[in-house]
Formats: sequence, structure tokens, C-alpha cells
Amino acid sequence: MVLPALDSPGWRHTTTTFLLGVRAVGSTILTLVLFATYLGIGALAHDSNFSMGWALAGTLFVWAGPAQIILISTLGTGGTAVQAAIAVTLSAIRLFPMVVAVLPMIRTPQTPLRKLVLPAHFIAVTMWIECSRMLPAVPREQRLAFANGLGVGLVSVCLVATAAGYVLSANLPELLAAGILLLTPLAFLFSTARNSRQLVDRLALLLGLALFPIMSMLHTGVDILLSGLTAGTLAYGVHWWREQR
Amino acid sequence: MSGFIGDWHVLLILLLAGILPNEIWRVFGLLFGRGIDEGSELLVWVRASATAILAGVIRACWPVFPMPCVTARRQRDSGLFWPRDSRFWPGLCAAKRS
Repeated sequence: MVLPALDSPGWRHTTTTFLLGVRAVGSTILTLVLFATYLGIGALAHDSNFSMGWALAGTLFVWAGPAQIILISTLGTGGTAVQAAIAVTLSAIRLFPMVVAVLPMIRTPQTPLRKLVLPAHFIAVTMWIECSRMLPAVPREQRLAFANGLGVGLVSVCLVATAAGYVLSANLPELLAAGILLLTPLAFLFSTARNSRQLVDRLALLLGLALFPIMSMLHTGVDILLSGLTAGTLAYGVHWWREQR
Repeated sequence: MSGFIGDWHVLLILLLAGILPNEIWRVFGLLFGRGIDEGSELLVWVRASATAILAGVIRACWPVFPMPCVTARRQRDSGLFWPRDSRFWPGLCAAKRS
């Protein structure tokens, strides 16, 4: 999808910008990846005897794939709500740096906090990757509307996928499910790599990939967080050292 | 309609065990990220950490290499990042067997 030039009149109206954001959903491979993941989540919810309304509410209000899988599988296998809540909140810590990184791209000095609540809710891995990719081509004062359009579009696709997966339930062929499993991390890897233009981001990606297996030997239960923070800090250290020279 | 929504107890659990513990980190990001300038050094570090955390997630759920397989299985068993229901991840099960 080709966005209008930064000074084009196409950016003048908030509604048009919002619709451009919705349309942008069709321009990323990650939409397909999300669709596949949420087909699986819908099917999992059905097999664990949750209602379709419950599954859809989960997609709309939790809006984080891993958290939903954890919640459904923990509750579905007889885990307590407290166990589920702890596992969900551990998996959700990663959203914090993403929100902190995305919101400064969206807001202007005049944007009130309440207008950032909705885009903050939409932020998950896909939104973070796509905002980093697309927002630089959007005029700053229109970025909020664009991000909201993008978020509404992505959530809508995933609501349809959740319902479809729920109806298809356990009828997903095994090969397809295995394909989904491979596709999701690969797509995220390639999108992140493509978006990493600065040395510090590339380094963080490489160090993160390399450090995680080492860190996971510590069996802390928060391996992903620990390895991520360590790799991110190391990458930043290299960036800082280069700046100083 | 009650069949579509289901039991309200279960909806309450969705709110308490799913929505709130997840959303709280976005709210923290919203509140604490306010004063940060887009070009600031702090944000460079935050972005690098977010990238590296994602790299860890990618590594953990990659069934191709033997090492993440072990960790993914362990995480699945602890219920942290993976469903305990192995039907959901036939690819992972196949990788486990090989």
C-alpha cells in the first residue's frame, strides 16, 4: 500500500486518515499471521468449553495472543484463576516497553492522555512493528487517527478469526496447525529484522536470539524478560560507547 | 443469547485473570512513558529491550532448533507461554518426538 505524500491533502481529514489506517491492515503479512494465530485461539477456546462470547471478549479486551493462550489453557486444564492471572501478567510485561516506545511516535505535545488510552490498548507486537514501519510516513498530527484505524482493523480481523476458529473448532488439519506454529515466529523475526534500521536495534535482535537459550538454563521462570533486558542493555551499551567516541 | 455469552462467573474470571493482569502493563506504559521524548536515549534503550524481548519470544517458540524445543516444553509445562493442551501445537509435539 502506498501512503499519500506527507504534505498531500489526503491527510487533511481525520476520518480519511482513520480509514487509511484500517486499509493498511491489508498491506502487512502480519495480518495473515494474526488471522492464523487467532483461528487457533478460537479453536482452543471451543475445545476448552468456553462460550464464543467469552472468546470474542478475550480477543477484544485482552488483545494479546500469548496471554489469551495462557489464560484458556490454564483455566481449561483446571488451573486456578490466581495461577492464570500470575502467568498472564508475567507474559504481559513485554507490553510495557512497547507502549513506551510507540506512544511518543503517535502523540503531539497537545495530545491529551485520554486520547492515548485507545491506541495504548491496541499495542501488541504487531501494532508495535507496524507503527514503527508506517508512522514515519504519516504526518504527526494525523498519526493518532491512523494508529486507531490500524488497531481497529487488526482487532476486527482477529475477532473474525476467533469466531471462525471457534466454529471450525478442532477440525483444523494437523499440518495447518504445525504450519501456523512455524509461521508465527518466522514472520515476527523477519518483520523485526526489516524494521531494525539502526545498529542498536539489529544488535538487540541478534543478542536477544543468542542470549535466550543461555538465560533459559537458569530456570528463573522469567527467562524471556531477563534475556531481553540483558541483551537490550548490552546493545544500548555498544550504541552509547560508539556515540561517545 | 445466554449460550453465546455463557456463565457470568466465567466472564468475571476473564476480567480478573485475563484482562486486568494484561492491561495493567499497557496502563503503566501510558503513565510512565509520558515524559519521554521520541529521540531520547532512554527510548533507544527501551526499544532495544523490547526488540530483544521479542527475540526471546521468537526463540522460545521456534520448534526448529533443539534448544528452544526444550525450553518451550518446559515453559509449556509451567503454563507460562505455552498451552498445556498439546493438541494445540502438533508441530511442537512432532519436534518433541524427533
